[in-house]
Amino acid sequence: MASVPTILGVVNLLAAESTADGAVATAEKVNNPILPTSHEFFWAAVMFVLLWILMKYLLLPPIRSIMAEREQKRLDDLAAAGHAAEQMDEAQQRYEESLAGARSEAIAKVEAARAEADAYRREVMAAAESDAAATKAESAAAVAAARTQAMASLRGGITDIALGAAEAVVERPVDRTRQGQVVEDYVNRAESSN
Amino acid sequence: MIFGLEFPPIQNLVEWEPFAGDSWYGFNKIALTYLIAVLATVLFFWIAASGRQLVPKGAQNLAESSVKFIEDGIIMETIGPDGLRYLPYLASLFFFILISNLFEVIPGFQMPANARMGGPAFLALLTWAFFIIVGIKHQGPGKYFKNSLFPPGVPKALYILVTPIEFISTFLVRPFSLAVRLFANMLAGHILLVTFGVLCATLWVLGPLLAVLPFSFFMLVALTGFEIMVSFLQAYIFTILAAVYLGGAMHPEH
Amino acid sequence: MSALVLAQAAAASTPDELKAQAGATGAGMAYGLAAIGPGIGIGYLVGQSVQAMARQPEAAGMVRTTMFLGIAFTEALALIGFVVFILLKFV
Repeated sequence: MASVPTILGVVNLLAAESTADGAVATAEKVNNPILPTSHEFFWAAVMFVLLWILMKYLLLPPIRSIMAEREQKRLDDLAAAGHAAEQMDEAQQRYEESLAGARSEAIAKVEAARAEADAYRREVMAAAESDAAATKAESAAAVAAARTQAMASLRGGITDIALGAAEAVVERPVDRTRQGQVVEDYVNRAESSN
Repeated sequence: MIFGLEFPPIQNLVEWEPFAGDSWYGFNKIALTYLIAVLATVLFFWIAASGRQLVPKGAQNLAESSVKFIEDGIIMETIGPDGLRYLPYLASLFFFILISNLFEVIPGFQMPANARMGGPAFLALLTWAFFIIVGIKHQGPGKYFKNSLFPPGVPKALYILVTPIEFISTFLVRPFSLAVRLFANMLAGHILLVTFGVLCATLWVLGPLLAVLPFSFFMLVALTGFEIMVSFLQAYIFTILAAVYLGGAMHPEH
Repeated sequence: MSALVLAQAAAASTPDELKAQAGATGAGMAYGLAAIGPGIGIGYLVGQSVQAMARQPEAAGMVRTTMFLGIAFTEALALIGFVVFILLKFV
């Protein structure tokens, strides 16, 4: 081993130091590398059991208690959040109810206003219509009066002309009152047939 | 020896002379590592618990998430809520194995304590005894051995075949495989790191082959990272197997 | 040392040297053969687990736990091979 002048591995050097007798001296009696040695077994047992006891009674409880505390707080917070959500739902429902009330009220108001407006419009229209009817009747009356007047004056004229024409034809005076009646009847007949 | 590469004999890699004491209580590097593993765990939890608040931060956060990991990732997945009473045992296993494994890559130590059979053998035997005791406590001695040696739902004639297999796999192979899995993984990782370390040291002095050194060194660094992962994984696997065995002893139907 | 022994294979004459030679050869074979099965097994196992996780991401936690358990059991064979290697080579 030491015959090679080159650098040995670091492990080699350290190990040669730690095995004081050197590998050569123990070469005859090589320990089986896969069998447990009693002192390592012993120390592993001591250390592990020590860790187990410490872990069980000293190390884990605080960590687990704080984890449990957090879990509890989380559950509490979750419950509180659920409660808050419920309250929020309730509030929203209330708000929606009031909104619905306000809406129906508004609709009623609009309806009322519309009805009022309708009534007023109807009233105004009725007034306007009655006015128009009055004006129409008045003008119709005026027309009728003018017409009867015109008709009367026309009739008088026609009777005179007819009687004058009849006197000229028979060359003697006719009975004005009787013949006038006849002409007037004729005119009346013509007027009604017109 | 190839190109002046001399691999040290395995005694030099894994055997450590005691600092103090001799024979069965000799306190050597391995025992020191276990002691540091205990002290580090205690210190870690003590720091975490000393300034504890409802809103965790720093060490408390780390401690809580590792406890949570053992609770949710290991116990709840394998045993169920009634396995939470074994949290102290499983947490001790996890931290003890993890920290003593991590000494594989800690400069100055660079020796995984579990690359010696002592620790794994003790932990495996303890787990073996523990799950048998739990089984006896939960089901009663007669029922536990009947359930584990004569699994229900198997035709009677098959018991000639099944019972020896069950006996060997439950009561002999379990502790053996637990110990060997941890031990061999750590020893293999240690030898791997030593191999590349020796290779790097040898290449450093030999002129023409110096060009290969970066690759070897890169492998050394990459394997160091890999071994950190293996340390964690082995602690996890040992703990979860212990939890599976405990769960099997508690609920025979599993 | 195995390379050293193999290089001097022709010169090995004493029983100890022959034993070391056979041990070194056997050690390499033992671990090499022991690594085949678990290599295939773990590859298949992890591949199936990835498929399961991709199909059902919500079950990923359970699949991962089971996957690690399966890896632990499968890997044990390779590790026993490694122990045999150590035994043959160094004892």
